[in-house]
Amino acid sequence: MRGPSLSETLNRVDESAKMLKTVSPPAKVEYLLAADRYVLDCLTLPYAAPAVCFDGTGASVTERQLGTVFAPATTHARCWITRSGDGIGQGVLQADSEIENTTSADPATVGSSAAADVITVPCQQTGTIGYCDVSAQGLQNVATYASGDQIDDTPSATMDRQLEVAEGLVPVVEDLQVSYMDGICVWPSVQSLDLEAL
Amino acid sequence: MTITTPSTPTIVAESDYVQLAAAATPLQTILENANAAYQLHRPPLLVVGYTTDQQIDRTWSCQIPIVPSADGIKYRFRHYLLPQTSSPNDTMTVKVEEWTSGGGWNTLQNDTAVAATDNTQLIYEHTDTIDADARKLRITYDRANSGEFFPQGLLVYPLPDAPTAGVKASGFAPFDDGMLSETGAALNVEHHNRPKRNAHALLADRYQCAMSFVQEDSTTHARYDIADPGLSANLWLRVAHGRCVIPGQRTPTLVVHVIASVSAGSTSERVAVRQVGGASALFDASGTSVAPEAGTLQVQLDAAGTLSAHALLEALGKRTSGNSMWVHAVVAWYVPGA
Repeated sequence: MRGPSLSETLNRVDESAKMLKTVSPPAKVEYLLAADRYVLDCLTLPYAAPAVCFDGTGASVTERQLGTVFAPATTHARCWITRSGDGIGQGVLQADSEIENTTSADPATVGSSAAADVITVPCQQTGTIGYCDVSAQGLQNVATYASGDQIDDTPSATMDRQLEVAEGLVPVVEDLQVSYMDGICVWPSVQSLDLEAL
Repeated sequence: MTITTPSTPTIVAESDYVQLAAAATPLQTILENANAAYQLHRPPLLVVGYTTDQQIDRTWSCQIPIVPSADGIKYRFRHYLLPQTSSPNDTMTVKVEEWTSGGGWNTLQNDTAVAATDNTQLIYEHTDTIDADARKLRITYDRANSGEFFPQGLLVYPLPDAPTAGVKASGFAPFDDGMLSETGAALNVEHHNRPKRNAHALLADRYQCAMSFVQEDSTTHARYDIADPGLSANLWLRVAHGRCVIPGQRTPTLVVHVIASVSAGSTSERVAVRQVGGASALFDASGTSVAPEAGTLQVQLDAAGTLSAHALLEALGKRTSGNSMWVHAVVAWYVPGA
């Protein structure tokens, strides 16, 4: 069973250094295994997940669609969500953030899928919604919250859980419909343990 | 002699390495997997959610910094748009340009007409080659008959053709099976070294988006001016705040590019990009007609070395007294090996 990579090796080794430095090294299977590992590292190292920052709550803009790419062997993802508010523990609790993976659906049907498909991340932010420090509300309490770590790909009701990602040996593009947030980072949280089975 | 590029890599089972005979395989499989990696290593160059109003009924445009592959490869663009009220169902137009310091603006998509249905999500995709020297993109959206729309986001990721003969500018050397296809072919040292060199070349060449913030490049239409909240000048105000995840890493150095402008006054060190509780980098507001300002930021990741290794990043802007200041775009990238 061969797993995907989560390795710093490629950062620690000098790129210009050759793996074999002699003209006639002894035949060793280790050389082949190392060469194989470098290529699998390149193919399966999970990609950086960006902090995608945007005003997702002002000017009646509360819902939008975004896309990202996951490296091969990714099975699930979680999110860091940015929220702003001027309440700092006071005032009305803001609306929960919602995330929906729409890749498997026709884009025209966004928003019409079953309610249970939507991931709801409870909001802990209070007060008037603003955007960072630059909206009319001025200085804001800005915080990031993690989405849930529970894995349930067929929930009976909306809940805070991990996003399912279509796993395979090639990268996959996933489209997301998100609402009530001022930024999102969608990061690969689970990888398949067996590349040979994909 | 053939350069074979599999559409999916072949995973060599660990059991295949037991009692291995001296033969072309699995070395040939490994080398062909490296060819496959040239096409399949697709970290997003840009993942953007636009900061903008909705119900736009005019031409909308933004500029976004990029650092594309040195190989001048193709990239896939996905524009996320919501056509809103129109005549109805007026077409949208999408224009995409790349900017190089030597050649100025070059058009990749020239006001391409895209069918649009009112209040129905639209994803417009196209594939275009980005020049290796390009340093920013200009994206322009519009809709016929002043129809309304909401520009939501943009995804740009590598989608290169299969590698052809010759060493690439990135350092990638495609494998040609000529020397391994002969019966009893020698397993030479160079063929063992090449997979490692190619893996490094690809990782270092394809920048991975680690942070983005983008609003319009027009000072008239940019959603936020640092002067908007009416707070005192010389106060750093946050325009972007979010957490990035860089799996498996500990103290990576991010490459950061910024586009910002001022109405008047000093342009020096108007933008800060920082890790909350960590290092920061300062950038000038040099305007939208020149190359983006460039710098680096080393971050100390929490949960270092794990799949969830992360850092909290912010972009801030500062104006001078009596003047406006706009942060048009901030993009940071993680570069493996940097």
